[in-house]
Amino acid sequence: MRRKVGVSAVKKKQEETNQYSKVGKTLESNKISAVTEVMSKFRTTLADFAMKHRDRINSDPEFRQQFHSMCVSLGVDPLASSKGFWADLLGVGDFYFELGQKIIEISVQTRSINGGIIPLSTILERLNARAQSQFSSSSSSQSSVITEDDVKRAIEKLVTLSSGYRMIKLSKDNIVITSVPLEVSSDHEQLMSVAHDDGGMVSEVSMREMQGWSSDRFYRIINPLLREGMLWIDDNYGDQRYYFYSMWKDSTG
Amino acid sequence: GTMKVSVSNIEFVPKEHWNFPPFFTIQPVSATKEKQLKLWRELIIDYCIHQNTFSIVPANFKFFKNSSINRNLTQEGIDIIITSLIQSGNAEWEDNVKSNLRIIWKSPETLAAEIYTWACTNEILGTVYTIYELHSGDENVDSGFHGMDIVIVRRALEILEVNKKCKIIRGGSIEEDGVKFLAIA
Repeated sequence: MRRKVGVSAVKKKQEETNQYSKVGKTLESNKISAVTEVMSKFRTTLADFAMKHRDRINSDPEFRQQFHSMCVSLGVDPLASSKGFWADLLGVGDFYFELGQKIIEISVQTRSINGGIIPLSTILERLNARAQSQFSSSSSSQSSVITEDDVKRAIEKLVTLSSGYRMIKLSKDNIVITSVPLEVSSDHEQLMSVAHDDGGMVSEVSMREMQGWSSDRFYRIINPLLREGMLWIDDNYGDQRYYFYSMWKDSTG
Repeated sequence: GTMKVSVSNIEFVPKEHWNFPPFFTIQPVSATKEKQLKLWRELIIDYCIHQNTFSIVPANFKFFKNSSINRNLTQEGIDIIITSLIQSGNAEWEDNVKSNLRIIWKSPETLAAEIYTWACTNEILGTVYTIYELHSGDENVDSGFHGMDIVIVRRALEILEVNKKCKIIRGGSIEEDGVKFLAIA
């Protein structure tokens, strides 16, 4: 019976690891310049590739996704800025920058009814509806489908560029975007999660049953959202419920 | 352009927010309420345009209630919406009884401009027509006010008269009244 556990075994393992790490560090300092050179060759090749396939990058979402992953693995972030070497060369930065502008337009157009809270799925739907109805100006005859990943990336850009835009991940398939400054606490997230599963609606009763909220807590969270235009009140002969307009609309399909 | 007025055979379907339960509660927060009232005004105006009708009876207006979601406006809510329509210049009570609400979806000023353009384009300046002919006669279907609310038509003509673009010849009733369009000096 061989026993590999025990203090001495662990110590030995640790020594081995340290040895490897020392060797690794030596290798590193000697080779790092060589690696840098290789990387820079990769980037030149990447630049050539990007130029050649620029149209396809802009029009084919799967290709775009793969290209983006490739860039990231080579330490290049084509979205780092909308200007600059990579953005100019690839035009990829432009794509996300323009997408961001469209997202802002959609947010502004719908703000009076949803108070600045809108599900990602709604934004995606509207962007694709627009893309379909617009005459494509690119030389490619393919119609560009905008994916959820594209929208997420564009919003991540907006988040860094302007205040108010935030992605709130309520669950794996359930992301909500805010386009107005909102201190989103875990209470807000709980509220939005319950609403999302209930056609956009929350009430004192539903929050007590689903999350154990007291009525004080409920009104403390609800009232500011109501004042900011993010919630509408449904007062049906004294039975009061509160709705996120955009989530309700999203749930009706 | 000319107004093509025709009754649609398709039933009027309100926009999706009519199925939103809170739409039937007048919102306490003023910015949201403003949005809501605007949507209600648009609903009523769209209905009238669709039905080619120029007044509603609020007590019977079926869209103030949505049985599919089991919601209805209270009388107070209806009153607030009517007040909002009157304030926006899109409605007025037909009389003091306040049962019929005239819905004005084209202002007399806009209509006046359209009528005069039509008159010039069709070279009818100087000829006397009865209002009836222009409003209901088959030959003048594109008169710009064919089938329109006769009260609003009359107001439009009065505006033109003030601007010396027409002369109204008073008959026994609005339909019998004549109008002669004039070239502007």
